[in-house]
Amino acid sequence: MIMNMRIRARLLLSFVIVLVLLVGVGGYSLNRMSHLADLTTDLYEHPFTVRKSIRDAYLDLMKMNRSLNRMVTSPDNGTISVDLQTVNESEKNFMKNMGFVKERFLGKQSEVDDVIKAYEEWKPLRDRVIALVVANQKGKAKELLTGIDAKLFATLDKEAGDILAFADNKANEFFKGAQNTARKSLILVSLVIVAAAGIVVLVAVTLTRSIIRPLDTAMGVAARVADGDLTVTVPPSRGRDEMHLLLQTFGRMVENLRRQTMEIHEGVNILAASAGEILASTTQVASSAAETASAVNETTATVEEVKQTTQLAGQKSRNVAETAQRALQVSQGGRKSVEDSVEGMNRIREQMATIAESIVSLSEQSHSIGEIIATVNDLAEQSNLLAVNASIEAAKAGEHGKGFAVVAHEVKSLADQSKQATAQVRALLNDIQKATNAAVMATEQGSKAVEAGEKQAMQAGESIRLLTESIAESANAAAQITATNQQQMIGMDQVALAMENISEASTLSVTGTKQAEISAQNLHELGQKLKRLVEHFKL
Amino acid sequence: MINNPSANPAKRLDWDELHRRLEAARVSLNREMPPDEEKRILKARAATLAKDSLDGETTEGNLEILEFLLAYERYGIEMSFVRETCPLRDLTPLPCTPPFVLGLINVRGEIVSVIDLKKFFDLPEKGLTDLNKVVIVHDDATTFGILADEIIGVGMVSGDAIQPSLPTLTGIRDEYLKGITGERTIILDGNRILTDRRLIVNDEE
Repeated sequence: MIMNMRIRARLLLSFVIVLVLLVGVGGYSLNRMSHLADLTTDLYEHPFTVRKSIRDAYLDLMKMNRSLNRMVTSPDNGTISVDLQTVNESEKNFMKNMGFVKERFLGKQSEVDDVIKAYEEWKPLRDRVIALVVANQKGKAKELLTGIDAKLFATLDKEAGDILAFADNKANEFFKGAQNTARKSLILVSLVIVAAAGIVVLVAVTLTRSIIRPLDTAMGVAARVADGDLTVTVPPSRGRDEMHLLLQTFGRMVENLRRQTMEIHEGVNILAASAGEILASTTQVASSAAETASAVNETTATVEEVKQTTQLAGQKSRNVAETAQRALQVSQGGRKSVEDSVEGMNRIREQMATIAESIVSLSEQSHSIGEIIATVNDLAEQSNLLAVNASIEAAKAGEHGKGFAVVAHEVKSLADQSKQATAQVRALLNDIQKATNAAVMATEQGSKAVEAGEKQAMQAGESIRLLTESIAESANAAAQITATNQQQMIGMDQVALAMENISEASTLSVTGTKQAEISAQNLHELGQKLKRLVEHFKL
Repeated sequence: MINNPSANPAKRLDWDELHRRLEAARVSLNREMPPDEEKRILKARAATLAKDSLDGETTEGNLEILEFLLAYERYGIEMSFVRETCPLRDLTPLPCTPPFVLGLINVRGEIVSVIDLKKFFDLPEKGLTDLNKVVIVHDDATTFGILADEIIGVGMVSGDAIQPSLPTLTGIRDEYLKGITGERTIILDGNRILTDRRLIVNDEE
């Protein structure tokens, strides 16, 4: 039943018990104490006060006496007023104390009266002494004082001693009663306290046990968790008080912690791996940045070279433009020449035709000559026969025909020569015929060649026309190239400037990547450290 | 090719030279031989020829022959049997005659038959043209023409130079041949040819 109570209720119950016990014990103690106080008051008001007042009165008396003695013995008169004042105050106090004593004294009043009477007797003597002192007769005063003191103090001592003795007895009685009462009270109070303490211890042990046991469990778990052992499980607990709730919550917390730590473990693993990769990447990036920087430097140099090359190209393209312009003029001239040559070809063809006709007519004429030669040959043949016949006739005539035979022989010889001549002419004519045929064929070929040449010239003209157009386009293109080159040169200047900036940026980037590399190194180390830290946890 | 004169410099024409040559040809063509020069040449030629013939006249027993060509072989026949020569014109072939009879010709109104000796001598045929000649031979009884490819002319052959015909030749060849000269002219025996009955066609039929 207690276990099911809330701790607050439990605590409240305990404190109520303790309070009740406290009140009980306290009340009892107070009762006893008030009893003792009453006893003490009695003690104080009667024997103790009387004894004290008498002692004070005695002391006042002694004080007065000492002041008087000093007044008498002191050679100096300066202190007289002070001593006088002391005497007066002491007298007042004496009287007051004696009033107390008279009031409180439980014994015989006569004894007190005796003391006061003795004092009253001493008082006039004292006044006389003072007067003597004031009158500066110290010798007399001294004598007087010595006489009265002895008498007075003897009386006082005796009376006071009686009173004191009585008071002491009374006080002893009181003290013994009080001591008795106190002893009894002490025993009782002790018993009560012991009982209360027992109850309180019981309550405390119960309370403590009910709180400490789950707390111990929690502490054990917490200690193992603190050592990094997250495999610990919180034992299931009955009860619904705060400690058990705390235990359950603690269990949940450990569970969550384990889960989170596992996640953290995984995360740290990933982080470490990532940091390693980042480090590798950063190292690569750093080397890449260095390479990039060198590449940028090379590129800058290359850009400078390209710039110079572009300038050169610009000059070349201007030259090309001029050359193209000249080539345009030349090609136009060539076109005109080709047209002229086509005309010339035409003329040559006409002349070739004329030549062919002439040669053909020549051939025809040589044919006529051939006919004539045939006739001549025929004539020679006939002359030959005629000469033979003449020879025959001459032979028939015998000796008379001998002269005629000579003539006939001569005629035959002439005929033979004619035949030979005609044969030569015929051979010549054949040669002429062959030559004219060859000439005609050559002329024909020439004519064809001229036609082909004309065609070729026209083709050449067309080609030159196309060439002219191409050259014109080339000239335009060269002009455009020159313009473009101008722009390109400006662009190259800008590129060179940009490359300078890039070079600076890449230098910065190299230092930046170096720093990033160092940072990645640190990150990597941090990841490793985290990994080691997380590996402390047993999961 | 016009724009490229250096393509074939070897054929480049030297027009001046050409003009010069033309001019020379024209001059030589129009040149007429002076009459004295012409007469002198002819006289010199006649003198040369006359001297040759006078040399042949001194020897006796020489045979005067007419030389002609038959299929590139030189043949000769004695002048005494030759009446005349004439070109082969207007030959009229005769049907139903032996192959050696070529046909008939008209010589100034006289009809003469023409025989071809090549058929007898197994000489290759050469074909008939206007250039073929006919040697008309005759004796007292008959007259006919012998076809000749070409008439060479009249010549003298000394009797000593004529060698008898080869003994290997037989038949009609041996009969018609009289001999052969050192210049390889075959001399025909005109008497035997003219009197050969085999040549007389119309008698047989």
